[in-house]
Amino acid sequence: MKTELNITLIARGCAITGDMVVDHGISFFGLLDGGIISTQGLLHIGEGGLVKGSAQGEHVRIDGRVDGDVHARGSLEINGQVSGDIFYSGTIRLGPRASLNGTLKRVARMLTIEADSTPDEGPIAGPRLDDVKGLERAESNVTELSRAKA
Amino acid sequence: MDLREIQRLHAQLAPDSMIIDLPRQIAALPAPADLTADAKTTTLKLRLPKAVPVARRSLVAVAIAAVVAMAGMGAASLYKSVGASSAHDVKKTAAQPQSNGSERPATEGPAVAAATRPIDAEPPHPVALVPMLTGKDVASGSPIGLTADQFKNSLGTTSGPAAGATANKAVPPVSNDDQRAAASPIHQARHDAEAASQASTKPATSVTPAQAAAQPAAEEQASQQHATPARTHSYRHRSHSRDEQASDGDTGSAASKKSAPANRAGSNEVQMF
Repeated sequence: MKTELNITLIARGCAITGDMVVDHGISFFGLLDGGIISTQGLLHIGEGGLVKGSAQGEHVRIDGRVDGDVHARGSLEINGQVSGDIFYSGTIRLGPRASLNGTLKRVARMLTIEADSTPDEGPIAGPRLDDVKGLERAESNVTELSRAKA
Repeated sequence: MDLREIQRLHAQLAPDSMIIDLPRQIAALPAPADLTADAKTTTLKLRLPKAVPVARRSLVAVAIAAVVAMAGMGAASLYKSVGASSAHDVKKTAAQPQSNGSERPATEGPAVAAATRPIDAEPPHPVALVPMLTGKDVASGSPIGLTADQFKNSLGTTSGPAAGATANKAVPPVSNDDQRAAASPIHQARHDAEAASQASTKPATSVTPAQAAAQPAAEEQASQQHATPARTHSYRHRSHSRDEQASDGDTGSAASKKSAPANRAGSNEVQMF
């Protein structure tokens, strides 16, 4: 049985507000105001891409910029800017243009998944998570986009 | 970064998808011809052990079939022979009452006796005790063939009683070389020519019927004397003399008829030599 290679491409010039959850690989060259989760495959933040939120994936490659935590269950390759904590359980590779601003932790595979974003909740539970996160973020130092706008 | 590069990147890190499609994968692999030949040999080697039990079973089956067929053929031949003998017996028993009723017990008796007869365990009579053959046993039997003398005698007797009598009279005993020479075919031919010339001259002269009757008799004797030695040489000469004797029976035109056989005999002799 052959599973076709499905990838999602968010090209340059695309701006998305909200969290993205895909069950396959994704290449993101646009602007995302929210978190992004890829359950399988490669989570690729391409050069020029910006994610203002957390990024979770099996294999994570960051050539752009991520303003948030990064969780990688498998391999992690960074050749861009990451402003947040990094949790990985596999291998990590840092490129010449890698810029890390946060903590780097190697954890167990199960802990790479955020406790708040359980798979059972799904996208429906997203708003509640946001509410919780909003509470957390209120306490954090990170300036939210919405707050800045306000 | 173009699309192909992105695709390649994602393909490298795509989730492991187990594709069990060996034929396509094997076909996609670059396989040299030697490997295919080895594969063929391996397939043959793999098939041979599988074929051995099958061949053995088939051989066993064929052997059993052959044994059964041979047994059937033997049974059929026995049945045929038994049926033929029984039919023959039935025919015999059916035909015998018509021919003779008294013979049936005689023919059936030995068959029954042979079946129920006790085994004769006595030793056979030794050969030394068998009575020797005697001359009586040989004489009693009819002669199988003729000896050379008997054959000659039979030839002499078959020429007829009159000729045989004349032959017995005319044949002189060959005592010396002169008589043998006189009896030789060359000499006989000369004598025949002389006799023919005499016969041709004699009718020209006037001869009385009494002389004519006496002359053929004398010439007949002479011709028989010439002819009889020839019998000892060959059977064909005897046939010529027989012709002469047959021609001698005719009294008319005796001289002309006697000259012809003489010439014919002489010509035959010349042809032979």
